[in-house]
Amino acid sequence: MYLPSKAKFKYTALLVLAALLVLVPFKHVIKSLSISFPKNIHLAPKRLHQRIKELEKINLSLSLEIEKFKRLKKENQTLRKVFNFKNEKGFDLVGADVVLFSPSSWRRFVEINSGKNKGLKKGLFAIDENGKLIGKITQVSEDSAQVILVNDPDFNLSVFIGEKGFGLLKGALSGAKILYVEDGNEMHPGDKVWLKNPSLVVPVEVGTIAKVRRNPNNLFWDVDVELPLKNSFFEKLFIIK
Amino acid sequence: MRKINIKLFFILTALFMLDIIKPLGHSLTVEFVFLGIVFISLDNDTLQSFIFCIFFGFLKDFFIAKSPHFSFIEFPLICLLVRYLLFYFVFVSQQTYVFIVRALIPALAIFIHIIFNSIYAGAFFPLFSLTFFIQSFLVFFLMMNLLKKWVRINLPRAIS
Repeated sequence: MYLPSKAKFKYTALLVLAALLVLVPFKHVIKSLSISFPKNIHLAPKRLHQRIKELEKINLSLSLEIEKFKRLKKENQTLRKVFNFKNEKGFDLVGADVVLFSPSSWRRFVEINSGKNKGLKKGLFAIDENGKLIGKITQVSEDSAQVILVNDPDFNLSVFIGEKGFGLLKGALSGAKILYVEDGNEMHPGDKVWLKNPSLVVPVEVGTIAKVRRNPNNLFWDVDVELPLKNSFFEKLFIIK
Repeated sequence: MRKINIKLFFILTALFMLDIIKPLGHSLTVEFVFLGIVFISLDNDTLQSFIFCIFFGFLKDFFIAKSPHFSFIEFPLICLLVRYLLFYFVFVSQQTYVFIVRALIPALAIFIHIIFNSIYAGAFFPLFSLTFFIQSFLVFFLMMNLLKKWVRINLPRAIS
């Protein structure tokens, strides 16, 4: 049969289309075959394939073990630091885990899993593993307590900067400020801010001075404090009893 | 309708969990529940959004001891404002402006949230507020893109 080239192309296209239309109802069968077939092809013997699967399982469980040990190592290091700090300063510390954070970004407080059952009470101070102040307890129930963090806008505390002066520390979300500083001439960025309280054996570090400036419209100086906790995530804290 | 209710309830509960767990600590200054409230207010009927706002406002206040009724009042107000602005702008504007309006309303809601909280805190934190605004705005659109297909939201059509 003589067919011109264009007509031959059309004829072939029609044939392909017809073949595809015939195959359409079997689409799912073809799809499942194409997916499952390569999976069942084993280039290696079946015994080796099983061995590979077993090794993959062992590999996964070992990876999980490694992660667990890494976490334990980190916890161990934290506790070791606290232990040294405790021996050095002579504090009676109670460790607690952070259960939840404040749902508002405009407040900074956490709920911990220790309460009256561990001898905690309102007003006790919380520190991190390096012995720096994190906050203080504002509410206590039988097995939980609420700790207001140093950078909460409602946090107020009397602090001093070495022998250079003293003031009232107030939280400012991303840091803190010291209010009512009468003379800031001798204060410099990097100076440490301390908390001294009758309930504490030795002073506790709060943070370092970030900026000192004279406010022309005010009698007092503006002092910004950089806090150790800043915005970081922490899951453990220690209460000084 | 009931199916969507359950989905929205799950979404808001998950967002609330994110708020109290804070997987990234305070590095991410975003209130997920607040963004969820704006999200549902934009695309669901007023009564349904209002009820969700009251419930999740109450739930949020329950976890903040010192502000027993702040979010309980703020969330429904934000919801009503979003609904009002959406209807107002959609019915007066051309079709092309609807998408701009849908972007501007969340921005306005976040801005009002910042003002409310600054008044409540009794102080204004410029750097924190700016960070909060930018991060919330970006997270809102990310959240909307991720969730809109699951919730099957139909974008409102403007009268041209």
